[in-house]
Amino acid sequence: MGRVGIVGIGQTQFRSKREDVNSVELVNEAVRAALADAQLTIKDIDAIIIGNMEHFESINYSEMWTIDGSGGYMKPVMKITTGGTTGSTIACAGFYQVSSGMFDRVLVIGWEHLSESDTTGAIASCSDPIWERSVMAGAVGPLAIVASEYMRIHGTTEEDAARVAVQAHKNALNNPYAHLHLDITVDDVLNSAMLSYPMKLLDMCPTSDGACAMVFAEDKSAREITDNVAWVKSVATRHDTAFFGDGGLKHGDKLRSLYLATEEAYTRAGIKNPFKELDVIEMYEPSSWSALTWVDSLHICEPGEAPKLFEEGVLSMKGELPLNPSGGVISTNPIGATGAVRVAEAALQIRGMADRRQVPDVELAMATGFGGSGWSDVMILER
Amino acid sequence: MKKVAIVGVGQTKQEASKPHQSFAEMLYEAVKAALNDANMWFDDIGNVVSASSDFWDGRTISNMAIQDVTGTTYKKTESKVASDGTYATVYGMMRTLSEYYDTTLVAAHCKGSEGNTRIITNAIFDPLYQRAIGLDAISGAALQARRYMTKYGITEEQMAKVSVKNHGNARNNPYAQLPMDLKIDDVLNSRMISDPLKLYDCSPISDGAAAVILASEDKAKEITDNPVWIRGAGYSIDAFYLTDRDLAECDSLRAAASMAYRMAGITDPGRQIDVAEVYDSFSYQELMWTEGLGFCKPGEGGKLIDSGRTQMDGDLPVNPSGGVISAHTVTTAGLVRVVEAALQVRGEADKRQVPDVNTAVAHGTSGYCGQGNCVIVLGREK
Amino acid sequence: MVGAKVGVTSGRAKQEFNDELLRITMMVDIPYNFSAGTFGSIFFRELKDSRRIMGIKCNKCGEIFVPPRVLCPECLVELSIDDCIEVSSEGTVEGFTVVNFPFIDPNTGKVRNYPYGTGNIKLDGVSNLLWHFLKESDYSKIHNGMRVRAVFEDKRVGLPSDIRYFETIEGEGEK
Ligand SMILES: [Zn+2]
Repeated sequence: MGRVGIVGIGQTQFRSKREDVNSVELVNEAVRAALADAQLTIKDIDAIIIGNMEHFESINYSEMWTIDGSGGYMKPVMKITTGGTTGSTIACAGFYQVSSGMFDRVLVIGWEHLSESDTTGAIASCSDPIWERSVMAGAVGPLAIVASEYMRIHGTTEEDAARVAVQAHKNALNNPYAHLHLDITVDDVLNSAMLSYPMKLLDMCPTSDGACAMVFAEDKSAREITDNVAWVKSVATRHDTAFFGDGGLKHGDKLRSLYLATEEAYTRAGIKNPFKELDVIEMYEPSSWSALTWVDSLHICEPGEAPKLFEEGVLSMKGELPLNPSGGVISTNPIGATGAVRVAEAALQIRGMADRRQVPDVELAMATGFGGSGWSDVMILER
Repeated sequence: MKKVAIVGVGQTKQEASKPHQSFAEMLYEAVKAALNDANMWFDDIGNVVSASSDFWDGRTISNMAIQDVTGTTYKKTESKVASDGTYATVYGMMRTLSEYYDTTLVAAHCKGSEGNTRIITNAIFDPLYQRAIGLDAISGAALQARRYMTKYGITEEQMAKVSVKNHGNARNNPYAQLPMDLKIDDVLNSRMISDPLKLYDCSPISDGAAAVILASEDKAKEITDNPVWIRGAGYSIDAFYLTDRDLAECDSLRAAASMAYRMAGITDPGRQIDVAEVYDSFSYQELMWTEGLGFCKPGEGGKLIDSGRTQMDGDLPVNPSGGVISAHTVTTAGLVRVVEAALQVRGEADKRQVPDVNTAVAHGTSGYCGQGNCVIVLGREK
Repeated sequence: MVGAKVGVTSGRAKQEFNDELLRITMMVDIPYNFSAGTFGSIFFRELKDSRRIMGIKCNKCGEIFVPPRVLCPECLVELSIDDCIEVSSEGTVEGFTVVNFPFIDPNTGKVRNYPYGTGNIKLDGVSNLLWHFLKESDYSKIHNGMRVRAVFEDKRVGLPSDIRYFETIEGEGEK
């Protein structure tokens, strides 16, 4: 198995409503940007992977509908979807498909036009239709329940969570693609509307329109395209049991799938001390509260220490291990693209192309995805 | 490039409705059968690729329902291909080839009985320009059938022959939903559904699940003495709007087949392939697909069925299982084709066995009117 | 959006114009008819007929799960309907929230009444959690570790909502 690298990255502007484009055009915006970055044309692409949660736009077989935007006409096109993890899953799929030797250059595209439907209702319909749908209130409900568990176990306060949101929004000010550009304080978060106790409006991610595309290439092909490749060092995925009540979100002290997936990714990458070895992390944190639990699951601190890491600025832009220089999911969440944006942002950091949000001298970066009933994808990239 | 083998297959009976089983229970039946077939259990499986559809399942993230019964839970990775099971098979093959995993469980489920086929397949069409016209899977196919008949002089009798042959073959398949002893006149005189498609030109919509276990070259040899090798795989996609295509042609199937044949080293498919399982949602589609698969020239699908070559006693039987027209489990139907083709290669297809199968083709389709196509070539030798 | 909006409603499709850009609203109702399956049917039948909450005990690891299912999610051994057992209808709140925003219930197409309390409940003796409604909707009166009991509807139809909600057991404190 030869090396696989990311050689092209394209993101659209993420906004609450991209009324200036339909979904096909939205996809095309990201594809053109990724191809331009790689200095390739669609003719150079061997296969395409597309990720999108079809109920959010109510388009069945959306890979077919978007073909004029993706450039997939008469090419191998595969649609892979796993809920919130869709974007990170298609990045992993890009890696697997190139690794297989079947294709030299694979274009992966994650997109969502969330303003076109009722997102909370569509998310609620991810719960088991018979068992859990009647109690579910979008993603907010279960995430708020986990937050309450984390509070109880670690004595965490609402200020601790608010600090996370403030850091994310502050970082987003450096990211021209980010959906929300909010210059806010801890008090602003604490005084924002209570959505679902203890989750307040500014603790929670928005819903965004947008797309993200990347070109994955095999070793030789990648080096021909550019001398600035973000190489994939390892990937890992863990899912969890079928019901929300069973596993993944049961343990408020950590996200079991993320704990196990990062462990596998570190082992495959030969990383022994992730806190010391990683230079930057792009983590899929759907809310400030989730960020606390998720950080505790990365093997970079002891359980319950996440609030302290945020408070002491360890995870800030100037800290030892910057988390989400992009502003993360709290500032931008176009569901089918969100996980892909984490990988894209991590790759930009590796390639030194992250402009005002660049962390100096990034050699090793990690991106994560979150979705389903507590599922996690992990991808580790190196220069 | 190394090769990947199928080392276990399983399927449920395909039925009009399976009210006694939830999605998970139904899929577990197929997964368990595949594990037993391979003499393996969940611990032996490296990772899982599933195929299902949020629209057909009525659930955002349809694969949430099947985590336990595919043995995924928090112990391994699962990923869902939101398309036909043949695509999941190809993706599973690629994940195995990546050397990250030496075995992959491919699992597909669908319950056509639980949703509303008309609304679900109407949702395939463009929301702004086409949905209001009322197009769905059947009326779209009717447009295609009419165009195919017009361009190539395909007759209703030739289409009817497919239905007679496949429903007849289904009598040898205990898993098929509609074994029937039909005459050509029965098809021609059946109720008109959407001109020119009559009731017996159309597949039913079915409930069912299927599973296949893939293994790397080295692993396959440990697991079984009778591996079925994936010699080649290919897939491709045509234009979206019906009006952008010549519906009498299946260009994306030709592209998919040529990719698969190149990988498998097949140069004369009509001679080198011993049996084919194709995704015939409608009678005319089998004729078109045999053209796209290169068994005959474009427009000669009608002549091919007239020749008798695709009958059970012909030299290139198509759909010994009864095909999709005898049981249509949508996202699962292509994986059923893979299961059936693998059984043919192993010589274990019982009453529907074609003699001396060395090379078999499984075909799946996605979207409407054969927009997307996937072709898998299976063989006794690598 | 900028510019004056003009709404045109025709049948079930609705168009909204502004100066240049057009949005078209469609309501897509897709009815489904889900099978509870063999194990689920036992749960709902017992709930409906006897106000009993059924779980399943794994014959290998001994863990008890609600609702019953065909495989133990921990050790992946096949379970049978004979492994189904009644579990306690009392338990402890392990995690909770009070939903305080309007949203369209995908089951009904209508906005669900809010605020409402909901939580993960660990029924006594059961290994996993049951996610359900809480009677209490004032979050200052809910805490993790709180003891609750199921309140059943008088008229039950064989749905999770046959358990109206879990109410606080006064005086039992934390567990
Ligand atoms: Zn067990």
